[in-house]
Amino acid sequence: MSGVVHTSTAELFLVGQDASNMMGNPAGVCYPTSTAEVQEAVRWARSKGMAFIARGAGTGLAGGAIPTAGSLVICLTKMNNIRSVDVHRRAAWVEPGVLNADLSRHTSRHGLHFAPDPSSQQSCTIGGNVANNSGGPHCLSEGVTSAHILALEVVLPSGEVCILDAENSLFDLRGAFIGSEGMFGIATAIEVRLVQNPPHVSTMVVGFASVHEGAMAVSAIIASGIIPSALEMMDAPITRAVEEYVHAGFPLDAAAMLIVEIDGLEHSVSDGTRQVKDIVLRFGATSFKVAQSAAERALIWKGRKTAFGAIARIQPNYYLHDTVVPRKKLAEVLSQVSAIATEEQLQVMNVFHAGDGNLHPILMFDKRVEGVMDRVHRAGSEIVRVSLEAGGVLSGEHGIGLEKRDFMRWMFTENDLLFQQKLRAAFDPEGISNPHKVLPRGSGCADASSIPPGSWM
Amino acid sequence: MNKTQGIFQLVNEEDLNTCVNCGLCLPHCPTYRVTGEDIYSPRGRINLIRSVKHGDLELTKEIVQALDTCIQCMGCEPACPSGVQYHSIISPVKAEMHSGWRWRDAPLRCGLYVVTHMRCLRLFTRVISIAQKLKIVPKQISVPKIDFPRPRFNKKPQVRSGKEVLLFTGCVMDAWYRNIHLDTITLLEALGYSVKISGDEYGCCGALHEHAGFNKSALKMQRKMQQSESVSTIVVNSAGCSASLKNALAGSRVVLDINELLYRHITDLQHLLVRRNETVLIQEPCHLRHVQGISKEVKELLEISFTVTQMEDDGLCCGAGGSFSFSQPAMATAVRGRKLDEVNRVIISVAPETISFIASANPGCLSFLAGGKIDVAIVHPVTLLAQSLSSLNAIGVI
Repeated sequence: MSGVVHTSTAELFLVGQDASNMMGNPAGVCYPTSTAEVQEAVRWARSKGMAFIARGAGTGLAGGAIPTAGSLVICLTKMNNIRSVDVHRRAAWVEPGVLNADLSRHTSRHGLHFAPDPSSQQSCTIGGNVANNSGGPHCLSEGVTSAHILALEVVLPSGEVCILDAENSLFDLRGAFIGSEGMFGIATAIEVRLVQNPPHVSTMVVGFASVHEGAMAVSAIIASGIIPSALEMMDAPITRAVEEYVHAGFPLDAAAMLIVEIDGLEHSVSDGTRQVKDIVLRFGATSFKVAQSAAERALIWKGRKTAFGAIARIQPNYYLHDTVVPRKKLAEVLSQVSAIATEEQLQVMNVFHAGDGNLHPILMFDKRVEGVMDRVHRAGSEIVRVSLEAGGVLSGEHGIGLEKRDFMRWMFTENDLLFQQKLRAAFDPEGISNPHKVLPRGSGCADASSIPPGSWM
Repeated sequence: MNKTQGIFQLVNEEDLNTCVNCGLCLPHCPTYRVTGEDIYSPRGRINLIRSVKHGDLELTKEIVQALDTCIQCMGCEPACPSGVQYHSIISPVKAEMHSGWRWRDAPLRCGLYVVTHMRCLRLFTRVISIAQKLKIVPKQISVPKIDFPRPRFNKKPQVRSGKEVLLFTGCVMDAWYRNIHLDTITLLEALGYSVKISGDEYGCCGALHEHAGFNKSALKMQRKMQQSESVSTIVVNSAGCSASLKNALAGSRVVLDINELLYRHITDLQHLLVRRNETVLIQEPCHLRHVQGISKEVKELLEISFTVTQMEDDGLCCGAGGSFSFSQPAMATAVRGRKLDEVNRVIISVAPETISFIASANPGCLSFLAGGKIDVAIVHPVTLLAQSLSSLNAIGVI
């Protein structure tokens, strides 16, 4: 095993990072190609007294894939086969390194797709989606990853392999494993549920004169009983940044923009579109446009899904937050976020899943400016605080990772944390699977050592 | 003092800062696709270049290998939402790495010497064509089947009065693919152009050298082109060369890729070309699609005569990459393997017997793909179009 563990400085430097601003300290990296090899890697790490961490494409934003405590990085990108597609059951067995978008592309010939569609779907892996219980714009109607996983083959931290599913086990432990951020073991094969591609789709782009009106319209759409397949909001600065790059015809004069998508049978789509139009006009929409072709729709989504990358056109660094607030508090929290940014002299942009109240305020900065990191940290914590005060939660879909670990106490009681720690210990008594993540320091006996440099808290 | 200080200083700091490490480039990088390793990804390479430049990492053999294995297909550029100008990061790095002597570059330098000296190239071609007859060509040399003697250009242009264009004949393109030049001339003359031939005087444009990082040699050849008193519009039928010449001759000449020029005459061609009951699969050269942004043109041109089908791999590179397949055969073969899998997938999904041709508008891709195991003929789109000219209309009727 030691023969295939890479330890060159360059490789360790790269697998020590993900899409967040943190830097880890891995001791080695290996690229298994089968369940047996993952098992061997886990056993090898155990025998050396090392911790281990599973890695996919490294697109996470909360530092979940940052190796701590000199872990062995088990990179699953070479396990990228779609093992089987069962069209009748609408299910597929895939390996964890399969890219989210590749899976849907592969099953498109059967008119099927994998519903969770995070913005990073072209790069991120199904294994990572399972670890983070990923969402995406279309999870508003379809539900997040946990609603689309039928079974998991897992290498436990003990090195044993087991199957987690609903039918053949005493307990259905899928729910515990999905979203456990790599702390319960490594999924080496995943049976996903596939859903039918919608026969008709209507994608609307709506402009508003204020963020407040946009937010009110969002609440009104959901309250009316329509369940759009996606309901996204972008504020004026991000709309301008994105439009410069995709040329999707976004309303540049609007203070806020909604992307509303409705799918289903033809008449219900046309009815829904009409209803949405009525509602948004009632809330003062300044523009309303429906995508006229699949190409136009694709361009709108390209703009939405690559939005956060387009920020580099304005500032070299960004810090993307991920909290959730009740829909009716959207407007209020957004104005608080804007006030926080002004207070810390930072630029902020908002692009988020408005339909489920999942905010993504993006703080932009140049980390070479002295003292800016402190201001970014302060603003970040403040955003979390106001979101929780509004009755929200810490994370919608990016996970807790390292980034929000020490905010856990703001939301959970000691008792809550203790039970979470006990669940973790049931899977991983020694705390060697992705240590130091999610559970705050001191909430359990394991994982007590240094945090990596560059870590936020 | 850190050993690596002073390395990669020509790389612009702002270009490096534009990368936010998001990873959206990963699936668009052919070397990441076949390895799954960060060190072989654009994000990884940018990160390494930045760290070496800043003296945080030493230029180790792993980093050299990571940079040497970048094909420079530029598939990452259109995929990047931050607008990272990857070419302006990797080009000076490649140039710097090749500025001194490295033994491992010796075969590559020899190869590049040959293509810039037309006599050597012709001699080499002759030797290869004999070797092909005797079936003793080593497998790693990707050379197409060469016709010998080489077909000749018509001494007298068929059209004299039309708008003048200069067909850039190049090096390998002329030595190995003269037929494609003849097809290009046939098409251009059918459209009423008077075609001049650039010929041996200009030879290689330096694209191969530039791509491999031998910028000095490239500049020498580009200067020769700039100083030449030739026709103002230059037509190029090799995607790699048209991309390079456009850049080198910007401001002094109009350089057009043949697909671009033909597309301007698409309505004329609709009258000139006959419908054929055959299906073509398009393989898009990186320097056409990613670098020059020419994609729909080839499709729409071929659709005049053929049923066209495309791959679903976002124009992922085939591994040829100028001299890349020669200098990094292992990585190039792995990348080609992936492309061939995609080709086979399309062939199977369309029904095997129906695809008659694979069209690719670049000599590197043509020869490298032909070296893989594909049963379908791989041809230049120009050849397909020229063969589809209805005989009545051909040759200067318009």
